[in-house]
Amino acid sequence: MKCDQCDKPAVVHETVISGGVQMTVHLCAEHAVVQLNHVPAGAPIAELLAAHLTGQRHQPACGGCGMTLAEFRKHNLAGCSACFDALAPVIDQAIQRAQGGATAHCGRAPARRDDAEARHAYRARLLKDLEQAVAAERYEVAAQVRNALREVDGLPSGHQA
Amino acid sequence: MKPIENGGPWLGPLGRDADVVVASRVRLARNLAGFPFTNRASTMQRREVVSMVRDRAQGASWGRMLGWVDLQECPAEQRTQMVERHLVSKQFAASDAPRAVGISADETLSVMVNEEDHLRIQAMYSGLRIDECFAAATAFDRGAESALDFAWHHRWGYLTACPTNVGCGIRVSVMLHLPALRLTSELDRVRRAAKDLHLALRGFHGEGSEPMGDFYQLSNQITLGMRDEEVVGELRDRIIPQVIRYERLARETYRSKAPAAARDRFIRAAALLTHSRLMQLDEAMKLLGRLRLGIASGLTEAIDSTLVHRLLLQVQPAHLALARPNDPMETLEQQAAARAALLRDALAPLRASIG
Repeated sequence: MKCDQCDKPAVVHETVISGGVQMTVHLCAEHAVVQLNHVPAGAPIAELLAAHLTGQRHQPACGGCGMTLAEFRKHNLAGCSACFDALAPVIDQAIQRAQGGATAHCGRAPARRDDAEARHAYRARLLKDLEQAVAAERYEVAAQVRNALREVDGLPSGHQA
Repeated sequence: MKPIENGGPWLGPLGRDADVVVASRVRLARNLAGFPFTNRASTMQRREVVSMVRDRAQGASWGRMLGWVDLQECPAEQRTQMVERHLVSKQFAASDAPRAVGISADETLSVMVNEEDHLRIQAMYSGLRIDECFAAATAFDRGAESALDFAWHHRWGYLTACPTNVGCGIRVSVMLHLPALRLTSELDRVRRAAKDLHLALRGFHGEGSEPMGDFYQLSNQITLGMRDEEVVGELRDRIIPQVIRYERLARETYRSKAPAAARDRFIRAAALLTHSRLMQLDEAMKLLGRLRLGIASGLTEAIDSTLVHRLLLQVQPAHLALARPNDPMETLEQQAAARAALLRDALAPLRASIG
């Protein structure tokens, strides 16, 4: 079987189930490293750890806007509303640090928080994001967007299998 | 935008505590639900945000008072002028992305769209008038809320790009004139106390700016876990009155210990401002600050603080260029000459009174 990304033989076959989306990916050794953060057998432990750490830092952590933890730490700016859940607990700590240890809002809330039109626009945007993520074979992002979609639809979001 | 004539909110009635307080401001940060924040939004999305906010504001009683300026179509000089007048932030004026600002005719209310957050609603009044600022900003916010969905989180409240604004998104700041605290070396103590109370003491133009002419902005840093009314109340009732008391005490101490020196500082400032042929910006700000202290101390009745406030704006580069369109302004020296001429003209009554 060929790699999903190139013509080389696939050596890694992985089934990803996330948020109700099941996908099987077939990748050559090189693309497995890039896409799945897969470490080839026999790699030294330091490399293995490094791959794990940098992979975590640079992979999109937010399905809403694609913000990575590294980007958030660098600029200390959230990219969208979804970041506040997707980047927890890192963003929680950043907020509490900036806010003298306060842990939650109190006081006024918007008069109307549940607007069908805005939800519809948001849903359409998520669908587009999902399409793009699948086309680019960024399965982790796709799974996160899928979770966000389920939340918009009022369904319980799935957890990584 | 109209060129500055009456000078906007700064030059309104001085009100109480005007010997120390120059102006008050309340700013609310809001984002639209369903759009990435400005830092992640595409050009298309930013345009969409601008037109959505502008269109809904223009058609509604809560937003009809705003006149809109498209920053991408606005000449650099006018953008700078808006920064000098505290209507937009420096970063907002400098960015080249789609963005707009809505400004009320009296310039007390301005709404930046696509600053760090989608909306930065700001109300500003002369003197110590935090309540009026809060009421004006909140009125717009509530109106906008009836037509737009703001990003909201069950735990964090109103969502903002920067963690420092999350919660109620409010920043209350008061522009203070604190020359005596600096002269008596008490300012560091105030700065430390402010830090302990989670307040920031910044320069004339807010974040990242240098103090000029002993003008400082004192503002809250905490926006989470406190109701917006509490933030307002704490500054209004507890903190600002205390800083005012400290400054007045320092002024008294300085005057009683060195009355001749206090008078001499004022006369020298007046003499330089009314006779110089070249005046750089920082020197002008410093001397105008001394003039303001002299007026507050009763050393002259020839002019009042409103004129000093007007000049604090008019000596800024963009205002200067627009106020004296016929003067050459290409070099710093030409600018300094125009500034000196403007000051000599405006302060003629003062020159007559100091002989």
